[in-house]
Amino acid sequence: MSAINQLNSIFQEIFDDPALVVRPETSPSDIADWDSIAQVKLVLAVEEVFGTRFTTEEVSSLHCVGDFIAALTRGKGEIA
Amino acid sequence: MITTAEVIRASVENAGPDLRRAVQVAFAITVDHGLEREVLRTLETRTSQGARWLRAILTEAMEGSQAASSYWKDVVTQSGCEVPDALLHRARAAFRGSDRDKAAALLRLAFQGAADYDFFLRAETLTRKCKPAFGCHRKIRIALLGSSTTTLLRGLMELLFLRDRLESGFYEAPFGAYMQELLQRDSQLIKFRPEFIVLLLNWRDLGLPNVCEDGLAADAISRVTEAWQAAMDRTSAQIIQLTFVPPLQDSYNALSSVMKTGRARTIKKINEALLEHAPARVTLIDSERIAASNACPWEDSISWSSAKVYPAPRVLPNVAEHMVACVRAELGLSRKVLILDLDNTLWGGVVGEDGLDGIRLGPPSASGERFQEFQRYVKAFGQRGVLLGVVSKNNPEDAIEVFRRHQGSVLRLEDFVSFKANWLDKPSNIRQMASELQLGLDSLVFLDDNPAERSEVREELPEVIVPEISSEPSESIAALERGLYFQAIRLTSEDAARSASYLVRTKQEELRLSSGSLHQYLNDLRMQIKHGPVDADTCMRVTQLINKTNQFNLTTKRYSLEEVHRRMISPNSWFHWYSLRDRFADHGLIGILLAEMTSSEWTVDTWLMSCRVIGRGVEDFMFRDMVEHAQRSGAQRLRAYYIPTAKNKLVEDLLPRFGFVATDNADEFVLDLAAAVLPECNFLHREVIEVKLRMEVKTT
Repeated sequence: MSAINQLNSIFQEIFDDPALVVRPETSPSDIADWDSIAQVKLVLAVEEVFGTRFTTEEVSSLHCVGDFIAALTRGKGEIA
Repeated sequence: MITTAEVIRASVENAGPDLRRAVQVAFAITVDHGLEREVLRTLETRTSQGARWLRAILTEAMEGSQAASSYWKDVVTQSGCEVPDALLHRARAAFRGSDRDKAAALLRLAFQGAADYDFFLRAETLTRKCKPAFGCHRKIRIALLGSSTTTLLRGLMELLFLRDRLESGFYEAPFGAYMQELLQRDSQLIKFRPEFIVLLLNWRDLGLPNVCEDGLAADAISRVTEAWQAAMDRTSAQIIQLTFVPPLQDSYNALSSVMKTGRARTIKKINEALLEHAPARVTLIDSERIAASNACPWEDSISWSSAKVYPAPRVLPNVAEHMVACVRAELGLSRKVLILDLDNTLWGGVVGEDGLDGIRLGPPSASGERFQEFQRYVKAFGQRGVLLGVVSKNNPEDAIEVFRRHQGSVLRLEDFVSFKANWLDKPSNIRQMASELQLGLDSLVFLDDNPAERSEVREELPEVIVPEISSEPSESIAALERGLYFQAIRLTSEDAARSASYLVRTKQEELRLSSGSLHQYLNDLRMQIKHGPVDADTCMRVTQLINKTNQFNLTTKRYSLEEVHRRMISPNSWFHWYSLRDRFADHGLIGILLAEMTSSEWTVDTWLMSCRVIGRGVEDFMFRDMVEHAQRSGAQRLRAYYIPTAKNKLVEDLLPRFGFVATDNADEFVLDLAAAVLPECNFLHREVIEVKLRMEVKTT
């Protein structure tokens, strides 16, 4: 569950909405400002915070918050 | 037994260079395990940056941004520098508390030091919401044309422009369609009437194979210059372009840069040719210099393939900073004065306590060498036309002693146009210095290692840029390199002589005080004025002056070199320059008058004067000169405008003083030439007229 907490604060910051709560199923259809440019920004911000780089394949597979979590936790143990 | 909360605390207190990430992870674990209270308790007495950061972020999660705001204030680096992330959190709290002005001030400071692309992303939305509070004084129209995605760069430039109190309107050409947009007679681009065009091209646009046979470079060069030509023909914009960076991947590897026909070597040749042939309306930015200063690669193949972003997003903030600096320079908004603190800024240690022999400046001390290096860096700033000043809390004798007698001091007293070592507060000293130099506070940059002094100056004088630095001199250099506060597009001989000219002004101030009267003072100056029509020799300096003069400027119209040239050769324009010399200095070309002529009437388009020579009666001479020429041409009226700006209050009364009468139209004045009264021939004037009779007068 750790990843989603961190993702949540990234989403809150990028969309400047402190009340925003994202779930694994949250997708661009739930957040009005989540357009293709916001997507590029999200990918970059997530990479920065998690200290990782997504592959081209992964970048094109990120369609909802759950996809971010899947890409982030692939091959990693739970943090806690 | 050590508790989980203590482990979490230890993880942020012993974090590596990426403290932000360590705090994020610690925060996530704390929340996952519901340990907020326990962790906060273990942090209570801790003062490390990591502990303070974690405390702020936990308090924010539990009690909201208002409650956390004072904790965020404590998040500073070891040496007391502000941390952009903490400033962003404080800005959020201020915004939610409806204090937009404070939010904008905090964001402005954060953008001064932020280099991470990631930071800009997180700050972007909030900054847009605070837009009205940034106090923009000018709008600019910029077109972004290119063969890559321009949106990310646009976002960054918008934020940096806001920081600099500029409101930017952008036009982004459809992806890759820049040439069509430039060539089509009534394209959206042409209708947008851009003041600046940023041309974002990359090596792909050059169409070069790995091995470039003869002629390919020439083709590529002409393709770029054709784009320039189209932009110059169809718009009046200044064009800004990055030089090309060879592809990071090339199957010929190192050979690509060594082989005569190698692609990398060919691209360097192309850059060289572009620099050589760029007309004045094209500003080229050296990409290699930016690339070398970035820790991450210039190009990122994933960002390119997924979103056509070029160069790499992490390089973009630095690129945007360079572009914004070029725009500032073109608009005459570059800073003019670098004011320095002394102890622990220009040398290591405190001269008043450690004595002349105790301070670190020059070898053998390693830190002394770095301070000396910094002095050398600063000295060269002075040589290229940036004015240098000192504001320091010190006994004046102690401070002066270092520049007179210390072996390691590269800077000498003569390098400073103003030297204030005393015990007054720094804002007062800085304000005083600005008024002596007759420059606005927004011409100043102040460097001081002391966080309290910085914050006091920022609070009192928000127009002054005060970068965050520690007492490590390489940080001072880095701050000046990053900020590009003194960006200049090109140098003229006046730039090199500027410091000397200001320096003597300080001496003139002394003379003014010691002289019995103003007339006596002006007489003692033995001024000589020279003037004539703007020509090929003077048009460069004239353009420069037109674009940066703010105070003595009736209309504040800005013209590119090309526009100046057009008026210079137009038979309907009367376009004159004035230069001044006195017994202390040659001030060079300091005044410009431009009038549009019809048979019955002259309209004053531009009347400006460098603030260095205000109060000398030069304006009287200029007025007299123009009236005499207008009368001789048979004109009956002079029409003129005073267009008020934030900075030209100085000339509010200029036109009425010379007998102009306000008309019913806003800002408009007329003078009946038959009734014109030429300025009283006070002492100065007689002097000037005599000079005029003596010298060779160029006539139109």
